[in-house]
Amino acid sequence: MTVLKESEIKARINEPNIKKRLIITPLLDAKEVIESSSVDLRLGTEFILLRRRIVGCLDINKQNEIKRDIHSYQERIRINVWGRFTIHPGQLILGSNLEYLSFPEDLMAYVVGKSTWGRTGLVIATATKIDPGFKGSITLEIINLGEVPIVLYPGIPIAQLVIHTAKGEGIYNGSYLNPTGPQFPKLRKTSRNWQFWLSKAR
Amino acid sequence: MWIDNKRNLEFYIIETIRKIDKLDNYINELLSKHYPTGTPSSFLLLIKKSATFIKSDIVKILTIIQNFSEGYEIIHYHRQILGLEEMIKMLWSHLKFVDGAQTHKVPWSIVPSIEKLLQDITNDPGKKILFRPQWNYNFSVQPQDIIGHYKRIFIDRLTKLDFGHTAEEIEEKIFKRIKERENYENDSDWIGRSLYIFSFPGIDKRNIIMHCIIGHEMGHLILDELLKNEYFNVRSEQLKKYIIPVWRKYHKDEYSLDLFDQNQMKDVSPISMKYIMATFMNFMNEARLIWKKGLKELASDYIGVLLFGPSFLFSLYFFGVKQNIDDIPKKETNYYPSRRLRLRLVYNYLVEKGFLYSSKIPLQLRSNFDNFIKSIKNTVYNKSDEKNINEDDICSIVYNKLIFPQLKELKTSIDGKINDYVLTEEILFKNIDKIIERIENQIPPNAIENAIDDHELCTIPLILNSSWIYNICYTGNVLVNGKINEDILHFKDLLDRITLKGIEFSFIEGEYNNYLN
Repeated sequence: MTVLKESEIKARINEPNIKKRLIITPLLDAKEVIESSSVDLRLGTEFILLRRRIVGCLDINKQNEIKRDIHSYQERIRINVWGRFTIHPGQLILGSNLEYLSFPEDLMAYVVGKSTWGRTGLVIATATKIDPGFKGSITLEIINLGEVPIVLYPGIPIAQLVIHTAKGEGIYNGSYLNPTGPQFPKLRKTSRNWQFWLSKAR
Repeated sequence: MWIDNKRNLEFYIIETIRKIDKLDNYINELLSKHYPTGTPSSFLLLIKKSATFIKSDIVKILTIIQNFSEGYEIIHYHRQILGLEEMIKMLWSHLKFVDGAQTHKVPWSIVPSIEKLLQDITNDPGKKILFRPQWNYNFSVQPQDIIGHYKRIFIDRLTKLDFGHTAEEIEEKIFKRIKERENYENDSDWIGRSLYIFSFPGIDKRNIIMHCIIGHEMGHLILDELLKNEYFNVRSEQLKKYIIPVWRKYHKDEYSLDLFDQNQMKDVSPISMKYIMATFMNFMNEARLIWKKGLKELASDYIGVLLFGPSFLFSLYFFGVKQNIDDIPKKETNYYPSRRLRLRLVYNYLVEKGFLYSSKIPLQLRSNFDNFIKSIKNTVYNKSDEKNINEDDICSIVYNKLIFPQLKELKTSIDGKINDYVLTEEILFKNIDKIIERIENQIPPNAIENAIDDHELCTIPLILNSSWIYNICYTGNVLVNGKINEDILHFKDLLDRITLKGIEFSFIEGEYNNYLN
């Protein structure tokens, strides 16, 4: 597994076959955003805010209630381009990158916060792996761990994509298909992997 | 009924002030919401300023009436309060437009693009729109500019009060540039010179390809600039000339008619005269309504075709093919031309312009595309609507003698007016295979991106046409094992989302490029 450097990133974006092409669209100001071993991602315009409501807790074992509870616990908003958003100390919001990504089967990536933001106390992403074959925008879990509110503007570089080659078979088959903005968590877990542990829980 | 004693008028004024406070509170609440452009917030601030201005006059009246207990003066000020209260009620009723324009209630990606397109075509950056859902299944535009409407009403009513307001003062204090809250600082925050309300069927908020019908609604605004009021006035004589023989046919009192024709009105009995005039006016009014509505609707469709190409036909087809597509224009149908006629004309324009049978349609799509066009052709080749029109004396005259010839003339003026924004066969099909390839691979169709340095933005019409064509050429089965194929529902949902994303990206990149240049 090798990290793609600038020339290889450009080569994969320029790939004529759309299925093998690495797509990052819109790629605004390519010269600025493609760096030596990463691509900058911009902050998108949609956010999910978490609000305290009359939901006792999010219990993934109460499958019938969880979907409704998730919606009353979270609120989707959209900020205009040239608008702004203030994140307060201790606040967690879900955002997404502006661009839509499409990964061919032989590439994967990690989303890494930009150090500039990290030093202000802003954590950009926690679940940061992008699987081969993934298409869509990435949900960013943004938390302000600093002491003062931070103003965010859609379109500013917020994270970076470190792209790797991936070998063998297997493509993205997760529950978030072609997201075009931040996604509510899907806590309705019905597979054996979860059910064994949940079914006998008291 | 007028209030003529101070105590009651005081109560009335307090109730009016409470209404203004309620209006102000609701404006503040709406200002805290999100909107896809700066226009709704600017409009709210205009309403807020207007209400504040009106409130200060009401408070002045409250002070003045302290000098009187009853009688003429009290009635006089009650009249003034009523006029001001009417204005507050009007402002309140317009908050529904802003309430509907909130980001989560509209397909927000298209709003800035549509506003910009309208500004570009009419060469007027001061033209603003509010885009909001309606519960009825219909697309519409209110052709009356709200800013102009406010100016007329405010100047008319406020200058008549006892406070010596002048038109200049009202212009300065209410209509001067209104900026948004501090976080919006570009020129788009200006409320503008004119504001129009566009409505779409709320149930189709996400069904973005249906929104091509907005081309027709934009057509109404473009057409109003072309036609002005005089267009119909100067041609009234022509209408009269055609309607007289039709009217005579229905009129039984030959004797009176002859006298009327010979200008010997004095010999016609007053009752016959009244009857003659009334029936004639009825015929003329009916004909005028058919004429105006018909010409405006059909010419707006032509503009829809020029702006949105085949996608306009596809939207119109799904929107309009219902029962009663052959209804003739009459009061019950609000004088709309029949749906089949509209569809036929739109189909014919597209055939003339080479869209529907183009050799440039991608090979892999051609068969499905042709089949779809064939079904539209079958619909429009049935001319039962024409038969209905020709069997109706007024419709037949109005359509054949006025609307169709005038439409031909108007097309030339329209071509000249929006020439730079017309979607041609060449533009549409030049790279459509590449745009559709993106959609097929679940990528938003915002641009043709061959390489980092080989890149071309897609316009809204190009994006909507590509999505429409891909939509009608989708080959999946609707039923699988007797059940709805869930893949189709997912496909439609995905198509909506990536089309909306494509429109948003195209707008952002266009603005970014303008900034770089």
